[in-house]
Amino acid sequence: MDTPDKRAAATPAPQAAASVGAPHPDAHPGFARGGSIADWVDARIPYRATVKKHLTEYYAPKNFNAWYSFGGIALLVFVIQIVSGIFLTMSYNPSAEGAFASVEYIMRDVYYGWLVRYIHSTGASFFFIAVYLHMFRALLYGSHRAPRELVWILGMLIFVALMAEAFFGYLLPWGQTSYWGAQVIVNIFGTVPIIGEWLSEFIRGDYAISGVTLNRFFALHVAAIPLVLLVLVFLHLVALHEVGSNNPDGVEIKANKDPATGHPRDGIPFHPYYTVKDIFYAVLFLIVFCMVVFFAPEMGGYFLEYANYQPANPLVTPEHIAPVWYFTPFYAILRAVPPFLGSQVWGVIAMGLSIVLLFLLPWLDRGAVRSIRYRGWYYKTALALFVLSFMILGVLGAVPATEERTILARICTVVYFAFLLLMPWYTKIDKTLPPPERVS
Amino acid sequence: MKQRVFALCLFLLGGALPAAALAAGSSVAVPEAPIVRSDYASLQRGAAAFINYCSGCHSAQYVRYGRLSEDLGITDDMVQQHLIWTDAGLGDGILTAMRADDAKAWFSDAAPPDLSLSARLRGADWLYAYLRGFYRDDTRAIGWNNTIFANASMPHVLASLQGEQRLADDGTLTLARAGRMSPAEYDTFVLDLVNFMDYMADPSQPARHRTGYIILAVLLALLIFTYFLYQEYWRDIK
Repeated sequence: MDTPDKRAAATPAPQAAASVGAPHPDAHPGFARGGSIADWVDARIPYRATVKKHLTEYYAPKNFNAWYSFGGIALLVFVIQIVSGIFLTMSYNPSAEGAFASVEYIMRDVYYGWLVRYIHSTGASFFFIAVYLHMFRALLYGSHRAPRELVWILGMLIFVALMAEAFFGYLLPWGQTSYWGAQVIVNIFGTVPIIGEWLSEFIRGDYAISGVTLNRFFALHVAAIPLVLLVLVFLHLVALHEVGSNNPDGVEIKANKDPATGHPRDGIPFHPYYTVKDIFYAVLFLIVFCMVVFFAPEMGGYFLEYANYQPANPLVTPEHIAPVWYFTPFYAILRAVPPFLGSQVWGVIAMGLSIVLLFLLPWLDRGAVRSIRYRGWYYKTALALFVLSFMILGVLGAVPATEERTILARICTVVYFAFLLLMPWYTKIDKTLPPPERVS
Repeated sequence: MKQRVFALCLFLLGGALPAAALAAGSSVAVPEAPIVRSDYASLQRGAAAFINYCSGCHSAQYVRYGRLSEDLGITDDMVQQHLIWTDAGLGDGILTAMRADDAKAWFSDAAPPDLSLSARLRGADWLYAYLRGFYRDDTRAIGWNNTIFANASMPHVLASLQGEQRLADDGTLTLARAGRMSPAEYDTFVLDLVNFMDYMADPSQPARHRTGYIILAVLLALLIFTYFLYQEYWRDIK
């Protein structure tokens, strides 16, 4: 039989203090009777501390402009895609025999199925629009620069996973464009020396794109890649909140803290300031999004390609095969590189490099300042040329190649790579302006 | 066409100016089919034309008969009396009596395609031009050719209505032998048919537009409130 005194002597001091005069051994308010449910939960999972750390006392620079809305918008689209995707999965039939018909079943017979499907198809394109603009924002204001390298790398991994997600999803309607688009992209892996043939068979699970391929792409699209995306998005945000956001001036707000509070002078709590601002931007975004969903879901054949309204036919190769618009810049780079030493692999390498080099951006950029506002005209010109060449490549990747177009694609490919490979040089010698002490 | 213009505007907003410009130049130029999706009488005439002249060879398997009464402003009885000529029920899709094997044999492997989605695949403008573009061509086994779709496997099944066109050396079509309809009547007939095919390809379009206006109105109202909420919170941020 333990008396309270004896027990106190046998246990460490803090608990001993709690046990004196208190019938319950735990002093935490959440464990006491009569507390609120919120207390009860908070004692078991630290939601209050988390909300504080990441929302109400997460200090973000006060000078974010509209470019900073696209991260939140991309997150919103991600949620839209997951929710609409779940509902599509309920009526979709992942088989070569039934896929195309089940999409039409969704479009015609499922209650508001057309809405769910158009939301999902439009969401795919808007995901890329948001992500491309989000990435461009990083280039504008140097958001990839130290100490945010990991934020950028995790973001790039999200971009790559998103491309995989879009590619797998695009096969699922099992239309002609789905089928032949997948055929072309899987064949890209076939150009890898020695193991290429084996590799493309491994991806397809068959000698050609077939029902087997459709089934595995379905699994990857609805389970595997979304999980990867979820983890990467989480890590992207964890990394961001560790180092804090950059801002349009590219100056570090943590360098100037109010000694009384310990908070950055130019920072404001994310909630409520940026939550209300982002809600406004989200509504603005939804207006544009809904204009497409309800009034132009095909978007002139760019978001939903007209040729995809006929079922996949392995025996009839379409005259012109182009990937969906968000892949076309990279596809144009692939086509722009001529075969060399009897191999097509160089185009594939160039396309791979065009993405891999982006990962290295934080180290390629040697500029004295982060933001475009204080950069010299070298970087400004280089960025403008890069964006222009990226857009022209996007157009060229969508249309059949001609001799003149191939020349243009080659020029743009050179500009694309010059932007990245010459970056250490031109950012270093660029005449920059001194950035302000504090954000403007 | 309106949708394409709208899509173009949105693309310009998105900054994809060169993409839109090049795309517009590359499509085959056909005159616009002035269809009016809200014209129920036109859709009803088109449905009759489709059942009479098309469904003998072409299916529209994703279109259920019962949906026609819902969408075209007619009763189930009328659909059963005038549009269903087989033992199909209202819940069934429009199928053709032509067997797939026969179709393949008769049309040298080019079996008549299902027409549920042809207006989305080709566009209403294309269909309108195609159905008016048949001309006599004795060099071909089926005796017909088409200005829009060269060497099409489809004979001119509407020849008794349109008559027989001939292709002049300068590429223009002239009516060599008149049909039961005047050229103007035939154009209206084809327009109704194309209108119906456009409906078949995208039956949810009216509901989509209706819902769209409501959603956009709600979002615009929300935009005003969220804007003022944002302004109110940010008043003290200098």
